[in-house]
Amino acid sequence: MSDVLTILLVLPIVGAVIVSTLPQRETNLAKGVGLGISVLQFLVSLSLLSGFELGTPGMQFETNVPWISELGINYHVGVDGFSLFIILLTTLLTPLCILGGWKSIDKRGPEFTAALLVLEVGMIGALISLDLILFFTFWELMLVPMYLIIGVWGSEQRVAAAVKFFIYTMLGSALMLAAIIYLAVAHYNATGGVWTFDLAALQQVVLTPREQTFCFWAFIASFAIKVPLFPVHTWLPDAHTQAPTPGSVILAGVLLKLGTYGMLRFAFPLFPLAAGEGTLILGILAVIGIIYGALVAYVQSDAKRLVAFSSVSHMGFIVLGICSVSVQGFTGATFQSLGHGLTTGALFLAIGVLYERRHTRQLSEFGGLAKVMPWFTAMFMIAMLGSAGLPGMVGFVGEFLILVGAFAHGGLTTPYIRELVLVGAVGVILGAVYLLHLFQKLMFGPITNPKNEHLKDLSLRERIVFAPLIVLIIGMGVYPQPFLSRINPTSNAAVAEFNLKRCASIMHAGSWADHAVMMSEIDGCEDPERLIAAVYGDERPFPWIEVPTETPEASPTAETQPPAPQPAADRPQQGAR
Amino acid sequence: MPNADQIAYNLIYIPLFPLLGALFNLLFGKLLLRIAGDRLGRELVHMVAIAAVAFSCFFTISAVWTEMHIKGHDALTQSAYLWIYSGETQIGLDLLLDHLSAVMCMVITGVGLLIHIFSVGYMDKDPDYPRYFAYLNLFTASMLILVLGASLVVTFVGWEGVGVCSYLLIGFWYTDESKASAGKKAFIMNRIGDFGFIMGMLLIYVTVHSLDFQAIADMCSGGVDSPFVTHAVWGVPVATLATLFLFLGCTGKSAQIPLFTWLPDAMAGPTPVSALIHAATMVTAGVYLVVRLNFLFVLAPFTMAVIAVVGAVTALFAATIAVTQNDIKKVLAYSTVSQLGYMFLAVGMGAWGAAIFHLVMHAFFKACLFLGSGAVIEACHHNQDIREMGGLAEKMPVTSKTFLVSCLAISGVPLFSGFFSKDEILLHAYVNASQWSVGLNYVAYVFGLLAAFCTAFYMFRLYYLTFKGEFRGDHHTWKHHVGEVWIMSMPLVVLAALAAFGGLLGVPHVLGEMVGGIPHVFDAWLAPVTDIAHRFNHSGLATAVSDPDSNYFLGVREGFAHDGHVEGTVELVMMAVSVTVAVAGIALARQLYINGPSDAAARYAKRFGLLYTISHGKYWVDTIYDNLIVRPVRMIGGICYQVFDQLIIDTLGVKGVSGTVGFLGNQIRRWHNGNVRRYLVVLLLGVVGVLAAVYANPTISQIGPSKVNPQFDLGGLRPTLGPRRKPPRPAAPAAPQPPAAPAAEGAAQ
Repeated sequence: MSDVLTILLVLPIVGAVIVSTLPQRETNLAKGVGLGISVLQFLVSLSLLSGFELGTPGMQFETNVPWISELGINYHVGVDGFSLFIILLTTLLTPLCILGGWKSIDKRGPEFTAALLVLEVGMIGALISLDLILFFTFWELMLVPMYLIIGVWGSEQRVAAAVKFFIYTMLGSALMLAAIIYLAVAHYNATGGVWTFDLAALQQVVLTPREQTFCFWAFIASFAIKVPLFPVHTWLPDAHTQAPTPGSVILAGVLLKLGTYGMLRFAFPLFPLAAGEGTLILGILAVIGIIYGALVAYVQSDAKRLVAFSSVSHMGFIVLGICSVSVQGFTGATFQSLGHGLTTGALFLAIGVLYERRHTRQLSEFGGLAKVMPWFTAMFMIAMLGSAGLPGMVGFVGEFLILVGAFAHGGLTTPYIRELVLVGAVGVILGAVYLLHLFQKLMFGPITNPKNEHLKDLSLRERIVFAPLIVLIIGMGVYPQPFLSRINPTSNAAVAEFNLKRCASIMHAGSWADHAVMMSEIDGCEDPERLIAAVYGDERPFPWIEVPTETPEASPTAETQPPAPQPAADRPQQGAR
Repeated sequence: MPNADQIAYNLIYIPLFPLLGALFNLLFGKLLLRIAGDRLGRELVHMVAIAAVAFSCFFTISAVWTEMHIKGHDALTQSAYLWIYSGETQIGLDLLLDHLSAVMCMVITGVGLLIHIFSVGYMDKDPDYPRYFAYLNLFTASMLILVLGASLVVTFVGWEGVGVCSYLLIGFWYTDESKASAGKKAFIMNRIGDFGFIMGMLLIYVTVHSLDFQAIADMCSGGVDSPFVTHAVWGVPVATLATLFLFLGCTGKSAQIPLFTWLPDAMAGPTPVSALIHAATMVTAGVYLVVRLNFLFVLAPFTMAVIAVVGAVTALFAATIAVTQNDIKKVLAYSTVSQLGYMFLAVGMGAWGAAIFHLVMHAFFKACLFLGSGAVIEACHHNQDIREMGGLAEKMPVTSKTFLVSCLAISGVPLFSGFFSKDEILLHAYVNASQWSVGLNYVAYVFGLLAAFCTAFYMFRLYYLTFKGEFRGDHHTWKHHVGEVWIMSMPLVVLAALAAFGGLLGVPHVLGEMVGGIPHVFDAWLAPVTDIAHRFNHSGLATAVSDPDSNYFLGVREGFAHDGHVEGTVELVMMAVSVTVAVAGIALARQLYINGPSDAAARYAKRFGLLYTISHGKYWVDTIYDNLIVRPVRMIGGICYQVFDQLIIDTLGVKGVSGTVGFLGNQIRRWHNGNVRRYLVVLLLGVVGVLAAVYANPTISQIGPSKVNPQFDLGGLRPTLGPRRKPPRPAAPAAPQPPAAPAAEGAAQ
């Protein structure tokens, strides 16, 4: 079972090699092979779901073999509640993308399919890596095929958009690499000569506040560009608009999620002290993004650009959830990642459908499509309502959890988070404004353009593409339990771990030490929340209200909770010291 | 509800059947029409839709029956499954049928059923027949979920669901751009309300850590000592802040000032939809919500006063607009806004029972009026202008008679339903003098009376212009007049009967005594929900009642709420006053409009030219909103996009300089030399600069300033935040703990 992850990485590479040997004119054959491989990949990935142990916060399906042993770089992969469903989303969206772009990708099919499959490897690799160098490798690997997909198969200004995408992302990556190396060196020094890039090991390093600040923001630089957070978002609309439909879907569906995933997995747990101090800035940027993205989306005349800006808005919610460092916030952020992937993916596919038929994305070219394309309108409407966060659809669950988590529990980590939530919630109104605007411009009114009079409704192929998305958008909104029950334990553990290490960092800072130490050398963190509250203040509205914490599935977690996977080993030693 | 035993019951069937009906018609409706042929197809489509609502109605009745006959139980509940959960948040899909939701369910399924039946006739020729019935069923299901929800979140599901259905049905004839826009407007205005709803939920959540009505009620039971009152967020007691936000939600859904402008526009939808959604059910959801959470609202006297004022002002404001409108549906729409204002006036005064009573009576007579207007519109070939109607009583005897009954009811003519329900509200307004807002109730009462006068006037103006006098439209319409069909008349008759006799459910105390002890059935039925006193444990209530300066329990303090009656003479005088007002309104309308618009009417319009123009122009609220909110939002969006996004893009030079930034273009063009390395350098410098700024900026170190709380004994530890930071004050020796802290202390040890 534990080889599933490796199979997931190898399978698309094999596929990519096969299709790239095909002659260039065999576009359909290449797409067919790609489709077969990616469907197979999806089926393989389903075994992750069936084999996933409920109620376990830690990594599952772990594989750990040395790669560059001199430097302690390992091939260490695993899956937990944060990554599980995003992996599944990736493996689901890839075949849908190939199928959805069947017609629109009419040149260099083999290369395209190969690029898409390599991209899939990069994304899955980044999601399962538990070694920072391995993660970085896959992180960079994603960049190249995406660059090609935008630059080769995009629209008119594809090259400019691709270059912009590349520059932005590269810059973030460079900073992150520096921070990774810095962290490993700190570990080397703190342990007296052990090289490792393993996440779990580096997690034990407690940097000084100054070091944490630098490393944290270096990581955040990379992730914030990917998300994209407000001031560094300008690559996104161009990349989306110029990318071919499959590119946009993958970009919005998965690539952006890697930014928030990176925050959850790396930036926050590794540097909790700096994170705790930085959440206010991140939160403010996120909320600006929510409002700004929505306002700007409203004035777009290009349908795709509108949806792209809506991503800026939605991703702001996810970052806000992460900033709250609460169980609900983390779970909500992960869930919302899925929700956004599905709804925005569906919207981009829908706009792709229109582009295929009319070769334009200008809103003014459309109108009255509901008359000629009823099924398309229905699909679009479900995706739109899901995106707007209608209860009973996927968007609501995540949004609600994020807001609850931030409002009720975010005060320990982020000052002023209630005010941020208040402003962010205005995004709920604006979300409806631009989405309904988009919907009306496309679907309602009389058919003013004669070219739209004989548009064909969804073909069977397109219906097959939309069906799983629609089913999930509604299904996950009505019955999110299978998802929440797998994400929650990990969120529980992550919050506890974050607070523990944040507390340790405060202790470490209090000792006036000027170098990093290991967690095991610090004690006095029996009640992290209390110490954090004492030092930083606690803005949670009513922290004194006793709350029963056990949930049906989380109760086993609660027992093993405070020392999440690794700290568990360290607890006894703390006592000894 | 506190102290109430709850028994499990399969409530899910109530909303399930309409939901299934909707699914069926959405998926297979078109197919049916194609396979079974148009006629049979339509038959099947509406049979499914009507059967779905009928089943739902049946299940409601059986549930209510059960509830009535099981002693000692107040509510039926069902927990479907755990829906959203994480951490301590646990939101179940739980349903609750207590006496309040029982009333609401009866109205929704009962009136809903009649309107479904009416629709068969009204939508007869529409090509999108299945879609119409699917939406109507979906709406019914959502509305039932709204009233059956056992927690705020489930209610919110229905709340949003009805909003979407309303959006879809207003824009049902979407090929007309203005109709589609009306739908959009309704949805967005509702969304503004939803923002309030969400914030209200969050505020309640942080206090209770649950959103179940039961849990909220339990938390409120401390009265003025409950955390809702003693704790504040943003310096305002949670109860006040949360209820204000929730009330914002109510103003959106129930079309109150300031979010009322969508309702008149919503008349773009098919008329049965206006009857069901925009008169009888959905728009009353706000009233329902306040009554549902009455135990929380009484803890917020400020909110209650706001609600009462908004209700009273809306009632009068909308009524004055309705006086001069010429579109039959617009008159009814403003009338609905006005009547909803009455209901909010009632809840603001703490008269929960009266509000729900009026809600139900309003559902009867307003649904009847809307359906009647639908029949008229159909008959007049979709002309809605009452200036071109007249004399229709001759052609449409059933419609005109039912319309007249409903007009009498809404005007408050004695023995018709509106007489009982509206009088009860006005009586409460008059009697509930609260100490907090001296005289506020009298102002509200006067507003209510004036609105009652306007109501009687505009309703009879409408009635006379439509049904009396000579026909003023074109000859063709008169001749090819569409006759009445039984399927449309039957619901009218039923509703008119209810509008005429429904009021007997709530005979005022004084009248009941006179004729030998007829009880106020309605109040008795709602007592478990609306009787506030039993909710609060004695200390809380006692504190509030004994302390004359306490602001709490507005509307509960009155003798009224305790034993349920006021002095008989007061009641009789009040009744006489409102009947006089109603009759005066009717008489004036008769004077001016019995034979079509008279010269006198024109003279009055001229003499009060300014007032007429203001009323006819609907106070220009739409224009004001458009210029004050809609345009600025678009403009800000445009500025953000053009200045920030475009400018940055251009500054970086990755995208070519376009004309959009011509005013800065020349400056920037020098940077734009195509040298990618240079861009990279600039970008790098920028990021380094930002990072440097972030690090150098002292605020980042001071976030969460090291305000070590002296009450925490950190055991000699001196935590600080690194060398750059100021060392914190030395931790003080253990200070006395505030009352709230022991919990944390206990947890720590």
